[in-house]
Amino acid sequence: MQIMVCLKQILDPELPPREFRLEEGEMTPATEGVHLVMSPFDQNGLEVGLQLREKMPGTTVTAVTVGPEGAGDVLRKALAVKADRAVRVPLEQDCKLSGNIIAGMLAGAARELGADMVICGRQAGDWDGGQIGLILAEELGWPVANLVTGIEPGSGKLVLKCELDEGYEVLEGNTPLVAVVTNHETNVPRIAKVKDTMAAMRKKLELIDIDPQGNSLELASLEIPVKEVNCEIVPGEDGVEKADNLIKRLSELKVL
Amino acid sequence: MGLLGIIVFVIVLVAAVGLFARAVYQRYLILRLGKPEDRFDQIGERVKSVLVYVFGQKKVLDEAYPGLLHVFIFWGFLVLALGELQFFGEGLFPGFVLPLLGHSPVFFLIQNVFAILVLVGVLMACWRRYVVKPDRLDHNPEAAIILSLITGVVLTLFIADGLRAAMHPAGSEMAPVTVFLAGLFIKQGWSQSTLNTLYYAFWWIHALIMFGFLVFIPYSKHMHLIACPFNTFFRSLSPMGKMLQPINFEDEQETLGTQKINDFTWKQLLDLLTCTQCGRCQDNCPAYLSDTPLSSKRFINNLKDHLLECGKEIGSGNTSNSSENESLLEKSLIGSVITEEELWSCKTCGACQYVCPVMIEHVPKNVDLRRYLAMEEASYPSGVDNAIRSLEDRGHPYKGTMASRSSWYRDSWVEDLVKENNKEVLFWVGCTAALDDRNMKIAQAFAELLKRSGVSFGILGEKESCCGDPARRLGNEFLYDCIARENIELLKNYKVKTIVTTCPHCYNTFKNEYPQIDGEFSQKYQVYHHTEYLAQLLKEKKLTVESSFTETITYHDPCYLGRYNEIFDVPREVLQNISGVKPVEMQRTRGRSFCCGGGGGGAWTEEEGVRVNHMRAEQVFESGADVLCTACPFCMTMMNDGIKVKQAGQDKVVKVYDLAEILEIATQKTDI
Ligand code: SF4
Ligand code: SF4
Repeated sequence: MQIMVCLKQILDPELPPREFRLEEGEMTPATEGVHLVMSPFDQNGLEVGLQLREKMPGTTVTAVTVGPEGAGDVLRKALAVKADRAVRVPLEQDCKLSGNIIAGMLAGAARELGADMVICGRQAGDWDGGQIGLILAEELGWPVANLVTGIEPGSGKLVLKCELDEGYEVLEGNTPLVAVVTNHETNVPRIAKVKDTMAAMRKKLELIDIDPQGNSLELASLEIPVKEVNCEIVPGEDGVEKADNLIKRLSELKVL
Repeated sequence: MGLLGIIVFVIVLVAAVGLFARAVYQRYLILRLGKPEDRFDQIGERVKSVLVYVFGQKKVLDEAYPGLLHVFIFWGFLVLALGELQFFGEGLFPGFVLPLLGHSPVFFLIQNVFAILVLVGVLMACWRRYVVKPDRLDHNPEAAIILSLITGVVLTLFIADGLRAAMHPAGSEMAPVTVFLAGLFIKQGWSQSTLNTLYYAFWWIHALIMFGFLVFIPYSKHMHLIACPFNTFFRSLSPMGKMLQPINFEDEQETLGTQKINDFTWKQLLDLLTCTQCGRCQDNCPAYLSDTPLSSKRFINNLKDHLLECGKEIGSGNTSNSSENESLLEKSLIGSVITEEELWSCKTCGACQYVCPVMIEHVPKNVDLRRYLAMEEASYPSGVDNAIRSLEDRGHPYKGTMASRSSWYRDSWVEDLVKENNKEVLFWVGCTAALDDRNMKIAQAFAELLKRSGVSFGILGEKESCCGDPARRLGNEFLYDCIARENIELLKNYKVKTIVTTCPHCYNTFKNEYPQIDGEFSQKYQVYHHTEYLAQLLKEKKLTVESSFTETITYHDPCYLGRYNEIFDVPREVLQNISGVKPVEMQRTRGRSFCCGGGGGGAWTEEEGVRVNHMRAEQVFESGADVLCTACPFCMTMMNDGIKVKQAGQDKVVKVYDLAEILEIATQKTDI
């Protein structure tokens, strides 16, 4: 079985909100001095793929990303945890394209690679679009399982465990299929071993050119909302003094 | 003695020496299992170490009672050993006199005195071992055998010597015990031949005990009698901060870190053979005292037992390893000899090796084993994995922080420093001071002090990254190596000549560890911890104390500043410069300071049971201080938490400050 795992490089979602900036005069986030990482749900997706490979001999995992050259970093990370192949579909202006176009490109890659299964994270940690897996399945005409936490080989079938609001459901089926993965304690991404990381640095990243196609919704405006916060710290040595001062101040402000 | 006696003596002597030599040779072969390591530099310094630490018993005497009893036995035995030559000589060849010493009354007197000291030492040891029973001593028959043998040696020597003196005093007139015993025997009215027979009986018993002792040494913890002088000679001569050896990742590495016993170096194996099981390390080990599965002493001794098992076959002269032996050598230490949990419980505080009287280096062994786990298995305890991931992804170990490296100076005058940063003095802020709310205040206070002193300095702001210390202590040497190399390159872009930091971990990394990667690092940069830098500013009168600070302050020595870099006095001197300060010391202080629990990845591991920082907080309250002063961001975080928890039920409120904060207050123009 050939599993294709879709990975997206995004702005570090742990970037403190006050550090989020836009490029001067442009509708793209500034990346200078900001770390770029693999989208968290994609990391879970990769882990699900790797675990399935361990249970099904003969399976290969191919990591695929759509993005500029720098996005190759996430592919190296995938190689470091021993993905078999790494493929980049070059695209320079990713965030300005709607999900359907990216999904189309990924579907193209899946066809070209002859994948039997495509795994995606449930949504990217930057724009939280949550469209790719579903549109991709539509493009390929494959069934899709949503909020998958793990995939097991069953007797002649694959068993997919999916999260529900309360509890979970178990789906069974055969490839081809698309699995949209969510995070779970069973798919915490593994840490790469050092020798694998070193080997990954030497490996070649493959390129597959696919033209972006379809109608895109245009990004018309993007701004950071300005929040006014007036904060005053009530002085005082200890709790009692602070409470007294707080009451005084609140009376001054006529709140009390 | 007749010819037969001499022949028997020679046979017994040869057998004993042979058995002894064989056992020692076996131990030597065991050492050869280890990898190479160069410990043959600075020979003069090494000889000095032996004189000071072996003959001078310097470290042994760090603890009064056990130190003294050891000195009595050790020095007593050295003197007695000289006397043995005369003793055996005259037994074998009546009339034998050892040149110079043989019949010297002073020498007899000295011998008597030292033999008594040995007995006093033995009594003190018995009292301690069998009445006081400190937790750190093991209860096994070995110690009892050794103490009995020592007592036997001395008593038989006394009796045989007394019997000899009863026949012919020959110089022993000044030796009180000998004279007393001789008198006692004479009073019995025994004939010369009875005295002679008894003399030879005790002479033989003495000889046999001596030889038994000789044979027993290499098979027991008393192997340290032989190993300790060597272990002291080959001890590390660098500050503790340099103890971890770098890995050259450009070379093809078979195994990263230590998996099997023969992945250790010969010196690391010699360490194991040297352990005397005195338990001093364990008494100072925060991991042990806080009830984690790790005990520094057990760590060494479990490895030692395994080593001796491995060595049995090799040592027996059977160099073509049997398959069982091979499998022992192939055995992974982690999981069989030492558990992962034990490894991760270590705070790398170094207290164990600081107090070890025989110079055993515990921490590098632990980190080498961690290296295997981290790099070959990518296996970390929970909490630590996130720190490592965060270090990889965003250059700091604080996953989930809402701060950025510019948070502490946002909208302040420091912002300008970042914009025109090309100064010779660089304030390296470090991750914790930059990203943790409480610690940001330290960065602010120190920057303020630098400004007040008129120092023209810069900071790197968002360009700064972790120094790599957490990765290194957590065993990910590769990640550390990458981070260190990036930082070394980064610094080349600036005019920096002096690096000053408030974090002892960054300090240690720059001062001791980057030079292992970049040989010119120490020439290019002067590295200071802020306590040193502030002391210098005070000395140069660039900073003046304006107000008094009238509280009782206790100073907590951060491990990486104190033990790792021997900076104990400087911070205390800075405090003494502030008028009104009443210093008090905690019971565990300076080299024996108790870790805050934050080192070695402790800041990210989840502690169960008793917490090290809570224990240290209790020690702070016991000292009676109003203020706990520290000089490390990890200590600040851990101690702040510890004090908060332990504050309940205490009659006084203890505040925790960094030295920079106290000085910042004291150099302002208002009284607090
Ligand atoms: S370094 Fe500290 S915690 Fe680790 S074994 Fe030694 S004393 Fe114990
Ligand atoms: S390692 Fe050192 S301090 Fe610890 S028990 Fe052995 S000899 Fe004593």
